[in-house]
Amino acid sequence: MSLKLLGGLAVAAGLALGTAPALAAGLSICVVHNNADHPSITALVAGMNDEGAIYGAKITYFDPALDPVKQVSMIEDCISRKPDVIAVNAVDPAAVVPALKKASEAGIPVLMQNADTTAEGHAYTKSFIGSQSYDQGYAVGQMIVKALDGKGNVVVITGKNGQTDTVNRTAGMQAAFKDAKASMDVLAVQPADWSKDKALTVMQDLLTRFPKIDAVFGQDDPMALGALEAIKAQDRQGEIKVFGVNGNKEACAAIKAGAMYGTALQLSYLVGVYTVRAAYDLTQKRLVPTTILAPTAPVTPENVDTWMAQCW
Amino acid sequence: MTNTTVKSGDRPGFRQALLGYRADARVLRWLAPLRNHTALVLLIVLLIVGSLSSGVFLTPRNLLNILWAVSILGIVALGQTLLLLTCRFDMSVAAVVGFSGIVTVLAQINGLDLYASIVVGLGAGALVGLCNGLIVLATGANPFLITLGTNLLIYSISLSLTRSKTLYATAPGFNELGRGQLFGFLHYSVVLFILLAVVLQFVLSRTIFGRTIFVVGLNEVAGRLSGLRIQSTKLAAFVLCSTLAALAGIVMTSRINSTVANAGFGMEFDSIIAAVLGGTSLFGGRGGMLRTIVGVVVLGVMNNLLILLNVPIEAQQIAKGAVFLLVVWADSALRRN
Repeated sequence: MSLKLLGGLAVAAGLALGTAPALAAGLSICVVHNNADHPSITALVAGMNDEGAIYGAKITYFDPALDPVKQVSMIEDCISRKPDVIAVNAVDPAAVVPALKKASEAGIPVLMQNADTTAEGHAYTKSFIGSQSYDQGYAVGQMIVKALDGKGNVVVITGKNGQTDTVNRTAGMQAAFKDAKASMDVLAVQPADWSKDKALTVMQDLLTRFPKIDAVFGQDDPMALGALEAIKAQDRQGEIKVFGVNGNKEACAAIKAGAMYGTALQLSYLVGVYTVRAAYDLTQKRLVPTTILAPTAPVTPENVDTWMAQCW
Repeated sequence: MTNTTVKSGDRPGFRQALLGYRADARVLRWLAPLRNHTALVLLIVLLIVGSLSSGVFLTPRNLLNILWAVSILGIVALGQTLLLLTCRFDMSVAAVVGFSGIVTVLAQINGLDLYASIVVGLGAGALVGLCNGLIVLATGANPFLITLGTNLLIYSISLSLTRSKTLYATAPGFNELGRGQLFGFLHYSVVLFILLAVVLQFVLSRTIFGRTIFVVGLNEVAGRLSGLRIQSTKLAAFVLCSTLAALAGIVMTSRINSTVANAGFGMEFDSIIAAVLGGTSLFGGRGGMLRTIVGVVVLGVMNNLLILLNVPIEAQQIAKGAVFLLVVWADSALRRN
């Protein structure tokens, strides 16, 4: 009896030893970006590939280039490939829900990356992994309050109107102003669709419209840098402090040089790493938390040297 | 009944809607030419509205800023106008704007000097145009769809070339093209845009190639029967359009010192809107380069005013949509005429 049990255990152990690496080697993840043409996605992919190598994961990437309809059909392509896990970076939080439902019905667990879906969509997803855009907006709001001593005129150059990141980064900034009881005047909130060149031309018009601006919040670093070009062209650098989100290399260098004042560093590489780990945990039937946050780091002239190596 | 005095060819319905029955026939005759210049009328209205509602609108600096802002789209729109005249479109200009900037910067990174890198960037654009033209001529398929296809293709090549990263220009002096100013106030990109428009207008109205462009748009068969070189003219129009988009991409890269694959997104539609707004027909054979200048400037003034007047973003989009509908309506109304 006990011998039998021991034997059984040995077989089980043998099976475990034999199958565990095989299972790991078979880990397959299908990723649908929102737009691959962004450095934060490049950092995220690097994180996934590095961590994936440890788990022997096979990772496939799809890029709908900010097209919500294309994203849905790409998720459907993913489903037909039958991966262990699907990871989605939502273009539009609501539009993506039906596709997530399909994946869940096909028995494939879904992880949201960087841009989350709606509360309705959460019924079909296992976890959201990312730095929340609200937190980034909040971090920038706090930096602005501190830099302006709680009082001043702010203009915001946003991403595409209505997108998750756009809405949340603005809301986060407003909340930070309110929590600090700062008397900030938000003069204008104007979209430049994540384009550096559009940010330049929009900022140019805002500079014409408003004789006194104390801070500009570009909702990603390329737009902040575009706004900076417009400010330089009109010689108003002394008057206006420029803030961004991302922590890309050029922005960190601009902060170091004193041309920009701050950015909320997204640790996108870690989002990639955490996604692979969560995917592995799911295949092992482990519990995965519903929210896995990669930290947001406020980068300012004082601490830019510490963060420089993390900037992407 | 004053409408009995209307000349043949006028459309009473149009004027009645605009001015009512009792308008004086002489006023109508005086206003008639304006019907062909929707954009000019719109521009004058915008200038009046702008100067009345904003204290800073009519300052020289703001007007020059507007020109600087639209000069890049303007250069794309000139090429698009050329194709529209032949009753064709190029939807790949959006990808070419990003692609040419990327090729130029990559050439600089690989050691080519300023001028050589620009030539390579322009060559990349010309090559795309040549492919577009050859595919359209060989297959006879709809150019709109063909160029949508090449748009996706070129965009994907750009993504692979950059590995989705932003590339930064390295050649010294490259920024002059996008940021430098003639006499300290007029940006080179604006000068380039206007100069190109004038030269192309001259080509259109004074050369056989230019006249053939119109013939292709109006009546290709008649053109072929009279011995005009229809096929090579079409090919040249595609190459020119794409090369101009490449030039715009290089100017943009120089202005912001960096480039990404999606730098030109939206320009395929904006360039068509600008050209049609100016009065170039979607149906070919009617229009011109100077009209496109007006169309582009109207778009720029509109964007500028919407920001200066602090119009909420939702309303901004409604305004742009309304103008677009107005333009399309005017274009097809004129065509029926």
